[in-house]
Amino acid sequence: MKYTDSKLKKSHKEPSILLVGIPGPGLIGTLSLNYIIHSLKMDIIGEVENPEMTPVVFIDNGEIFGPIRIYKSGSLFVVLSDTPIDYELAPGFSQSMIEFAKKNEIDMIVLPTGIHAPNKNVENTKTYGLVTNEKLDSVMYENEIPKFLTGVIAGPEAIILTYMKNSPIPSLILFTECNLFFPDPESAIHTINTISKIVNRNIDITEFKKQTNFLRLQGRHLMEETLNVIQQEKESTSPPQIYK
Amino acid sequence: MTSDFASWFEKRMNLLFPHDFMDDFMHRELVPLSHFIEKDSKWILEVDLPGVNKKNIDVTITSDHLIIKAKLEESYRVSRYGYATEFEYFNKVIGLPPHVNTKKIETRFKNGILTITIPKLTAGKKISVK
Repeated sequence: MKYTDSKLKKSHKEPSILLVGIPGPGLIGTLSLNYIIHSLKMDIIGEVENPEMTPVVFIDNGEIFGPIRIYKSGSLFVVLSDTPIDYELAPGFSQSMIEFAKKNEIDMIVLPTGIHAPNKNVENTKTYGLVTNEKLDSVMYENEIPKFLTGVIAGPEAIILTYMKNSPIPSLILFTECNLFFPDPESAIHTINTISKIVNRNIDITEFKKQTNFLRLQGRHLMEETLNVIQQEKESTSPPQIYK
Repeated sequence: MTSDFASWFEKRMNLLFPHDFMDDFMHRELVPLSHFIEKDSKWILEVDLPGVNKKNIDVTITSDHLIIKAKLEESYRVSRYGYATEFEYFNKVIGLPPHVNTKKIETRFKNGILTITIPKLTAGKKISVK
């Protein structure tokens, strides 16, 4: 898997942050990062290419892009996959993401995802954080993000997390309590608010809040495709997810 | 009325999934997501019914199926290939797991999710232990 980045500019002096999103539990990554891209009016600057990906393209302003695209706004970047990343694609995707981050002198990678919480308190949904480098402990502390202390993560996300752990770029993974099986925009609101604080950008969620039912309906097909990928792995040798 | 973001997200989903999600366009019925969780003494069925009021949900049981039908508070409009369809209902027929106690099924609706608890049959022929 490789990426194209024909429109990139040279590195910035202010901290650069890369947000990474793939379809996962509750579609947390998909919903939150799509909204951030839309809200901040981020520009498409490239894509991650792989001939094995689902043969679908996205057309924006008359240009053709694949399902894994790269966006930019100032020193904030987003890599967003519209289609689920399975076991076979996860290593290539992870390598491309880290390669992109190195080339663009990214200071921190943030990966938002969901964590299954069947009895979650809707009034008090929590987002936990996990860092790969102690340099980011201060980011968690300043933004009042509790640590994800104990658990098991399985599936393609585990592969991505392993690559992030072994890369020199500090990474922060955000786990928001959600419903694993259904699109959960209500939980994605908490993710957006947390990311908003970390990247120090004002992201107004008024529009998103009004559309939660619509987003749950729109996300059905993608949620089912995502669960098919997760279920495939669970039928093999993956352990079940356990959460503290 | 959908917002700018909702329209944008809808376009993305339509591009990725040009074929409809098994929805019944003729009867204007959506198919909701659902899943089973098996516990020791029961099955739990969850059905995602966003935009529905509890009083507009019908759950019917037959010998081996559950039929879930619910009316949307606001119709859901799908525009595709120049045509628009207004969906007003959810409808889904779900097969029951075997050996369940259909007389003690319980339902609960919260935050747009219908939870149906189906106890397993526990009665049977006693076997003595020697």
